[in-house]
Amino acid sequence: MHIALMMNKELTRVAPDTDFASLLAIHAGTDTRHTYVVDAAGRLVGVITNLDMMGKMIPSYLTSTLASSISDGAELIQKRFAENAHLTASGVMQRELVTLQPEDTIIEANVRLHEGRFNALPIVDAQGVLVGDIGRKDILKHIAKDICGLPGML
Amino acid sequence: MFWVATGIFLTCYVAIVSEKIHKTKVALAGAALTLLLKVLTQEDALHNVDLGVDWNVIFLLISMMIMVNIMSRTGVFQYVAIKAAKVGRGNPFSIMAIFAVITAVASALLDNVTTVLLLAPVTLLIADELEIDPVPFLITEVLASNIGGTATLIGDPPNIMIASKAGLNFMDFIVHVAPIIIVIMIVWMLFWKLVFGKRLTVSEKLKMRILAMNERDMIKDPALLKKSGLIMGATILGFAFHGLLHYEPATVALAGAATMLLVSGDDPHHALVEVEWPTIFFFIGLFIIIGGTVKAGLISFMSQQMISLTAPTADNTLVLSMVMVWFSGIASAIVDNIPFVATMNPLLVELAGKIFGSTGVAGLQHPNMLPVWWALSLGACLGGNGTAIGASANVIVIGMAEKAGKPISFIRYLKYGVPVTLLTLAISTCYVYVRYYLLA
Repeated sequence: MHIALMMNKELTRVAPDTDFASLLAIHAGTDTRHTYVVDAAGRLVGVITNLDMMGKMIPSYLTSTLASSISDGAELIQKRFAENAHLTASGVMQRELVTLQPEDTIIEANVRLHEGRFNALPIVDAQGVLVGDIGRKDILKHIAKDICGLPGML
Repeated sequence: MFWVATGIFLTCYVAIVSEKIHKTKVALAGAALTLLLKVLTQEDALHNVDLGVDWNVIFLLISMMIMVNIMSRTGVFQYVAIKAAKVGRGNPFSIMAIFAVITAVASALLDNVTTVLLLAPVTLLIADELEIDPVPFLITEVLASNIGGTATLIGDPPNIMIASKAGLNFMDFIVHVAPIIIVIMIVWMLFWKLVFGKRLTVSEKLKMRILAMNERDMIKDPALLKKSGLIMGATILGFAFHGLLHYEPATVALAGAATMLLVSGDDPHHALVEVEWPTIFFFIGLFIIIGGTVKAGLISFMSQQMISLTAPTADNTLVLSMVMVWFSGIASAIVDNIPFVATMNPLLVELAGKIFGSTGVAGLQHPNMLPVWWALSLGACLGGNGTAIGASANVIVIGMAEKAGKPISFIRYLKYGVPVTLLTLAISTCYVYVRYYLLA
């Protein structure tokens, strides 16, 4: 069973020069798991996760012990926002990408998600053009509906 | 065999210094070659006290790492740091000085890397709150951890190795090394006051942010803190008396680690997985490589060279001691001080055998030999401050700073490291000269 059949095609794509404020608004305002950074030809060049955005807004050096010493973190976060204002998507995105191909199977996709602890993985065609993404929910939905025959219960 | 052992030794040294391949891989490959080419037998490598792995060092390191892993989960170290920043009323230089003292004391009792790993995040947060550059604070902590670690047998790996080889105990280091480390800390802090006292100023409003921090919620597990604190205290007491009780330091540490594992109630997996296994295996590999060079005669040859250069006699080792402080200091700033001391230890044992006629306690702890060991300890530990790669704590903090978006360049580190290393080595030289030669 190829993942092309169940992949999510409604993706959030942004250009590499998208500014930081817009990125924050996109991640805060939509249900998107990832923002995909693509070039003019639609080829995938990077991925920005909610975690990446959080990493830019909340100091990554904080430990759980230390976090409980901060009574009000709003000022720290505002400072981060000001410091990051100059960043663009290409400065925030992850560049080392794990991608899937449309003809990969759901078993393969699930193993790759599991091994790298990813929430979702992008799917690119032979030219590197982003065609969709897939997460555990998509696979589960497919398993329940098409393999186990439970369409009525969904 | 001489050339085979020398070849392995030199190749490994170059590979470790070049940092192209991880040092643990180099050390283990060198050890494997030493055994495969029959420079050492496996029996020598694993069971011969003079040639093989020093299990006293290995078990002391592992046990201390286990204890610190369990204790650090209680949140106590970071609690103390925040509390101290509040005691400093949010004044940046006071915080810098208090953190230096805390780091030095903690590093004397725990390993340096753990100490800086726990304090660096607190420092980054405080600098963030005070809106100042964290880099001078972070480098100050690195320097303090290497200086503080010099004070005790368990403070820094070179001391653990020296103590094990020369048969020195915990109290020997307290009596002979700790006093000068206290002097060094005081002089260094006065020097730092001149450099940073006026430069570090922040507004009252920013200081209030530090005073508004809430340290009370930071102790995550008060019951574990009480238990592990007691065991740590008992272990340190055990170190203080290990000589009298005729226990090796590793035995004391192992007892402490085992007790802490028993009472912590947690799965041992966490405490064990966080042991720095790459460092432990680096030591194991290194001991075998050096054992090969001892058996093949390279170390004996080198000790002969050192004798002809410094002309020590049974009555006078002054030149040797003076050279040892600076040679160890400079070498340890450039190469990792662990392989350096691993090489110097058997060399000094050979040397003691040649000038005092014994490689047992009579030679190794001869009144004229002891200052040489102290010189090696002071030089190797303090020299680690010289460059960004001189000691593990330096590398760790620079890595953390980079991750937090505050990279520290090699040159910027040197501006702090070199003056402090020169200052501390100069004080050490005077100390060794005055205490062991002028007044002896």
